[in-house]
Amino acid sequence: MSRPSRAVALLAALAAAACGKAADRPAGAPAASAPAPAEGDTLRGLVLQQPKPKADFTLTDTDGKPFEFRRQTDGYVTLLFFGYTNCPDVCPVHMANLGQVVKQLPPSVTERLRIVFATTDPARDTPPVIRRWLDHFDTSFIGLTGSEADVVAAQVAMGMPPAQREQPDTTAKRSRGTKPDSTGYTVGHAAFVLAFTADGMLRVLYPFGIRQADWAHDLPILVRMGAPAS
Amino acid sequence: MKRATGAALGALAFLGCTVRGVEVHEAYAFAPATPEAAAVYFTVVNRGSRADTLVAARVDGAAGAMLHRTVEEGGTAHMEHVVALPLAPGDSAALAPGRMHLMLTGLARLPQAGDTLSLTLRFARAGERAVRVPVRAYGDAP
Repeated sequence: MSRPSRAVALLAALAAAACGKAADRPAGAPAASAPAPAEGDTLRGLVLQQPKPKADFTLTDTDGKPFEFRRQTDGYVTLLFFGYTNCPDVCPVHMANLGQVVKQLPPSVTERLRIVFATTDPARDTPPVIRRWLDHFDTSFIGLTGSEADVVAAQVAMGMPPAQREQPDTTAKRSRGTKPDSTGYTVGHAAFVLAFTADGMLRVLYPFGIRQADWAHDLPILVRMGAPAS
Repeated sequence: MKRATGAALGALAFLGCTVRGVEVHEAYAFAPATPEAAAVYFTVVNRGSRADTLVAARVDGAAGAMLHRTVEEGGTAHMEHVVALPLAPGDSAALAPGRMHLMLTGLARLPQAGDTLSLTLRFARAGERAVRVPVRAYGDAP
């Protein structure tokens, strides 16, 4: 179990380095540290120097069925985002941008793509709640939930800092001098989207600030570069 | 002269709420996917000669409206409640996705793109400002 902690440090450092920079970079400008993919076209996300294999975890999908992440996304370019539906800002912006972009991409790209949202707030995000929320963005999106322990385990397995429940509103006027409303919490979560190529390797992180044009640029490249090695 | 000044003030007030030093510009909200959480963004500028502080906000039809700052630490995004937003003379504060937002909770109905929300901001010195907030579909920041 020393591997996850090392991976956490790696991802955290990478994400911290990437934070806010991708969006400020002029369109088409290469990321300073990103090695060019085989096609010679530069990805706009943050390319990991050391790709990592897809974690093997099982959560519950929005039909209430077990979803084996590694097996059921095998062979697809897979985007994985940990977030929660009561998130007002980062989560819906990521999902909305992806929802807009997949509607504009050709089937040759979207048929090779799986977009997975895994909740970090299973207490509130039941399968129907997640389905209703995701359908605002795109009905093809896969939504996952599970027990608190399973959700944490999935994040740790992927080398992510596990989400934590927080109380930003303890000083709000609504709760001043009273006990905070137990439903009025927010959840810290990774602000970046993980991108796996079809060979099952995590290769790119997309920090918050990535724009629709960046997704439209990168997703076809990920599909092309994701062909399993012969 | 008086008439021209009046007209100019009227135009300014119409454009961006300029009375007594505090201006609010570029307000918008994303049409939320759930009535439990929506985000409003705007830019507030203190054009006055004295410091002021944004101390409260409310939106018609929302049970709560709270200023949050998004902070990224070690790859994790957290929301911090901003109890009061001080504005020195000449200062401005921009609420923008991923940085700062006014989080609305408990919406009576789900606002749709094209709707307008009625926001009231309360400043310690300037008092209340009514702001009309157009609702747009989620997506890139404008």
